[in-house]
Amino acid sequence: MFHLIVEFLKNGSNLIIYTVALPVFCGFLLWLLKKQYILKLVIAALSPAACLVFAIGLYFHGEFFVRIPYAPYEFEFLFRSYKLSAMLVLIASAVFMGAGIYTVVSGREHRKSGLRLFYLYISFALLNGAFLSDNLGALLFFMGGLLLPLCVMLLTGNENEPEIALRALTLAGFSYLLIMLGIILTTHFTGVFNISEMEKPSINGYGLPGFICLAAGVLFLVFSAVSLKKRIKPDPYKLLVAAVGGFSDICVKLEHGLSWIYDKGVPGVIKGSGMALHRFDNGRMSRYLYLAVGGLAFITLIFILR
Amino acid sequence: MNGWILITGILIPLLGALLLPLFGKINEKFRNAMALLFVAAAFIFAAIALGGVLSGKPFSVRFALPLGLSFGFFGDALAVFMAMTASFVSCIIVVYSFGYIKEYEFQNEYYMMVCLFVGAMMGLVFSTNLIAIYTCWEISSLCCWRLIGFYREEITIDRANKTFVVTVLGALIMLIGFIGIYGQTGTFELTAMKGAYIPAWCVVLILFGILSKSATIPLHSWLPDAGVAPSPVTSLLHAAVLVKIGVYAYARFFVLTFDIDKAFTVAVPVIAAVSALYSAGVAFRENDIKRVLAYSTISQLAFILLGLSCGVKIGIVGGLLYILAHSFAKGGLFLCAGIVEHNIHTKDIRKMGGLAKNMPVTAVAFALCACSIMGIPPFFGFFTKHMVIEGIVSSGNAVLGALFVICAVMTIMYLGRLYVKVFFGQQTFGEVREGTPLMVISVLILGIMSLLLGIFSYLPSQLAEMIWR
Repeated sequence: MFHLIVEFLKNGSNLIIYTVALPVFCGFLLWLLKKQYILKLVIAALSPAACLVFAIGLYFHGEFFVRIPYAPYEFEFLFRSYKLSAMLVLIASAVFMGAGIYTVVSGREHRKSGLRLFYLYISFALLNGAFLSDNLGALLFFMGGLLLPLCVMLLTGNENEPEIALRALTLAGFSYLLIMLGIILTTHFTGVFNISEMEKPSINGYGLPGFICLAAGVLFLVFSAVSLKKRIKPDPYKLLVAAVGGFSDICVKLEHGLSWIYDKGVPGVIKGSGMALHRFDNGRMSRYLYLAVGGLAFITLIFILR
Repeated sequence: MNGWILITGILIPLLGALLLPLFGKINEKFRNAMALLFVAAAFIFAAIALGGVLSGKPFSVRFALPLGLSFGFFGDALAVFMAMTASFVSCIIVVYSFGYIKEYEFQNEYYMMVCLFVGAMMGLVFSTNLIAIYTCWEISSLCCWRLIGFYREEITIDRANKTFVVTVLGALIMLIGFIGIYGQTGTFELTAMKGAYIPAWCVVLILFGILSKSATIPLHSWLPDAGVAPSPVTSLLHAAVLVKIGVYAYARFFVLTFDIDKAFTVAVPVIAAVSALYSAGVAFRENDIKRVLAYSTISQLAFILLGLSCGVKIGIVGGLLYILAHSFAKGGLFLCAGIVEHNIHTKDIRKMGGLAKNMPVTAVAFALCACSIMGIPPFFGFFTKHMVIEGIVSSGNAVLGALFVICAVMTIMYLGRLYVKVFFGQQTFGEVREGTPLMVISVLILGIMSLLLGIFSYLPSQLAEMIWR
């Protein structure tokens, strides 16, 4: 049976349809269904259960690749199924089945449980996508996509403390962008775009800048995740806000100076020159005209001489 | 014959604009409908011209003038791409205006200027003659001046004057650059100048005009100040059309037409990096919702300029797609800010809070647009930001790439702060309602488009690739 399932998943874009698109669709259904408790429970269990079965099949099957043709320029949606990715999908399926059922049961009376379920299943889909991605760009796409459900779930869960979501967005966003830079540097310096081709990664010479950014991004993500639950010192969020705030203060001061030049300085000079000319000229319009014609003639002369 | 499609697409909004005050005297609803029709016509004709691009036979027309001069219109991939983007967002803005502007005076002039503005934009993108481009450029400045001063208060008039002076001065300096090019090549026709090397002083003069229009530091000061205009105007000027004229001109002149000194592929990205970081820094401390978005525009325009100027294909394609992503997302953000300001009569985010409860659709639309600007997948902004940064790294400027990543982090921080302060936390206003249905639908369309363009990003990226080819 597992052989048949894997053959089915290898066909076209089925691997992504059933491990990524299906959880999103189920999440959307869970959001739409308001009162149908039993149906919600069934749907909440269905998609992770299906993924669980797929993952077992994929685990016992050999390695294979799937390429989705609809990628924008220079991006490649290349997915790879092998033992590790199948194992990770399997673990995610088991965890999200439990989390999904728990959220349906515990949020029975909660107004926003539908929305939470929707984003929970989007997270599940994105995680599956990230685990199966072979291309670094595709991996970043799914990994970065997790930012949105993370923030929405934190916002819906802490309506009176939105700073928690802001904090998570900032820290996770910083890590995600560091990883983005790491991936860009790695692909640029090594010329390798796919994880499967990086069996022996070079972390010296050209590969080093990318590796440093990737490692820093991952470490910062872990550090930030710990700091969300447990106040640790130094607080990465406070550090980041202080650094950006300090830079912003300098920019604001410069901006005030620049605005003064535009709003007061230049108009003042023009007004002053005008007044000086007016006095000198004693109100005779013809002199203005001579001045303007003289200026035009001068400009014309420059171009003729060229 | 096909070239007439381009001319019709330009003339309908340009000439139609002149009729709108007359229609306004007859019936306001009729005037509104006609304004939408004229702007939509620009989009429809641009979409027809897309057929020519896809079939490999772009529409064109040329008229000979005395003294060996000529002017023409050419609907290549870049022109059609810009025309479709600008006219589509303009259509949404006109629909939104039906709800926003109805309470104010000078509506006839408002719709007239918006249509004239769109017509000027169409003329600018399809023209192949430098003088015609300059003329349309100045028409857009004139419309901008009247639209920013829409409320006729002293402060708005001052700000409108400032915008007018900076952009017109920039254009005049650019005109000297055009004359310099004429002295070099003996023609004003862009099609006849393909691959022509132009001296650095001409490039600097033209760049001055471009940077003044696309509000790049230090010529940016007019853009945040122009936020005193009505929100649809700020959306039109700051997001969809006006500031994009500058980056369009950069793409047209320095990417597709002229051969310029290689030093500019370093100098312009450096200017862009300074502009991006500086404006993001100011945005982080601003408390006026529209000024935050205005500084954000300056910062994001620097990303576009970076992509276009890095000289690497992926960066240029990314820069072009960034124009599209930014037009939709920032247009939506300004319109959302308009709904908020219209309802609570303040722009100070310190006085706002908890608006998501009473304005859920606006909050969702704002979040969708903000995610695109932040570059969060699967929104369109993710692909464009990635491409632009990859472009600059590929050109050998990894340090600039890192600086732009810092700028992207700051984008997340100031937009996140803005969103949380406005829509979450303690509710400070009692009776707040959503905007009118048309206003809300308009912003929702822009938000959803930002998401859909990301999911189906291969479609616009194919068009952007055609521009490069």
